[in-house]
Amino acid sequence: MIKKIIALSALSILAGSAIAADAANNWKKTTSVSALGGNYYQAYVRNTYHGGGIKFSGNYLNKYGFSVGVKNSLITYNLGYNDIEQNSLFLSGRYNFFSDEVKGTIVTKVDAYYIDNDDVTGNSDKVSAIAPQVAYMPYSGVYSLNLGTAYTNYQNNLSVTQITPGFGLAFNNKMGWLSLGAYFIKPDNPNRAMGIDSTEAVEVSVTHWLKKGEFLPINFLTASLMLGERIYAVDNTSNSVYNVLDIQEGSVSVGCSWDIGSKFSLLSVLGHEKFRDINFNDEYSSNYIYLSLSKKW
Amino acid sequence: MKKIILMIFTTFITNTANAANSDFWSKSYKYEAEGKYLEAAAVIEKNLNRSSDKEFALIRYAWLSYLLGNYDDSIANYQKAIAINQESIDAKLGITLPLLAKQSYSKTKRYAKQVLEVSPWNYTAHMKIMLCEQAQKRWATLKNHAANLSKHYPTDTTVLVFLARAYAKLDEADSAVDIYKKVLIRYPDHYEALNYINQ
Repeated sequence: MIKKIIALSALSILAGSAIAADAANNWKKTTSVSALGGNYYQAYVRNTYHGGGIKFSGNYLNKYGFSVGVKNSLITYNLGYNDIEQNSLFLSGRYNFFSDEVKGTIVTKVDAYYIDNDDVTGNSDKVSAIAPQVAYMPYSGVYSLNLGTAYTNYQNNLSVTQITPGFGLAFNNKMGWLSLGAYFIKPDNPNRAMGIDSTEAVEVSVTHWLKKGEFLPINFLTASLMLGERIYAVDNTSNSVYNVLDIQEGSVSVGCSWDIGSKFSLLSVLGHEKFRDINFNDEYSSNYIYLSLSKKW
Repeated sequence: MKKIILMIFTTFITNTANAANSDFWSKSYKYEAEGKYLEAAAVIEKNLNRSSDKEFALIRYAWLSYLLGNYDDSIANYQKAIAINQESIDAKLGITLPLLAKQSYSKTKRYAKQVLEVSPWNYTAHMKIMLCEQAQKRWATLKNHAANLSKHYPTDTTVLVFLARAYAKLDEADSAVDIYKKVLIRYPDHYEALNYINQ
């Protein structure tokens, strides 16, 4: 199955490139290569994780676009537990409506995920998720409203429903953006979710764009804070599915995007996450670094 | 004798009516030149149904309504003019003004595209569409549109400003600078171009 995912993704990326080559002027294309590495601090079971991925995005003028990406990651464990290596496929399609009635842009988007791993229990293997989202932004660009939903299907009698409403606000003459989002997550089988039947969390993030040359070749700075609890979350921002069970109890991250010439940019993020493993009565944290190098075509 | 009197009377009446007819047009233009849009519109409105050139009266009244900020009236009268003459490029471009003022970008583009069907590189129609693309922040679309239009109007500064703006918004700074430099050749003190290049 892992080979299938990679083959399918490679084909999709090539197909995307071919489409893009046909109408080069109308397509804005971005290819990103990312790497993620982190350790688990004071965790009984988990040890480290690292991974990498590639994503291709194409946007046809301002009308529609698609993304396709693959990731490979490895979580290493202590106490003789088997490591988990997994591959995930990400597909996304979006369409923008420009409405006179609401004087703004309505962005509709559907993300789909498939995760395949070697988890011997099968609990985090063969996971599929679909996440339809809608967002509205007035032409003035001073705020946005968005609503995301996600439905994730796991093996062994578990499916998870998620609702993610959000609000964004521009400030400092649109050089800053504040976004506030909530996560309401409901697993349908608490026995598969450490006895938890629902979780709630809020996430606040701030982004500040810099003028060219204001400070190093940095394009923007960003910081994010998540409070509350999330379990089996689908993160629409990082396009990640938290399919390996543990309760996420908060996170904080800071990052910046560097311009490297006019075609390349490097996003670097440092983060800290807190987790709880009810089975071992264990609270632990994780520090990670995420790097993503993008090239615009 | 009676016939002669009747003829003279008829001629007098017709001439008086014509004089009055042409008089309200000139009055309206005079008021408009003085910035008295309400008076200019009132003169036309009074004669709207009496004018021998109803299409012109409707377009003129729609224009004055636009100047007065009565956008719905303006749109309604431009539409009446279009109903009288489907071929009217004047009315189809005219109606884009109140539609733009009402931020009705889809409708603006619809009328501008009707003009482009008969006159594919009509400058004003393309300008209206580019204004919509800019207002809707469709920068990639605007970039392609302005680049194409610039091939047909290579000396035009405004088209280049739209193109440079689109590049700037798309974070293609080098291309934006190149285009703003072309703007400065055509318009040496262009504030936006100088500001972007010197930032």
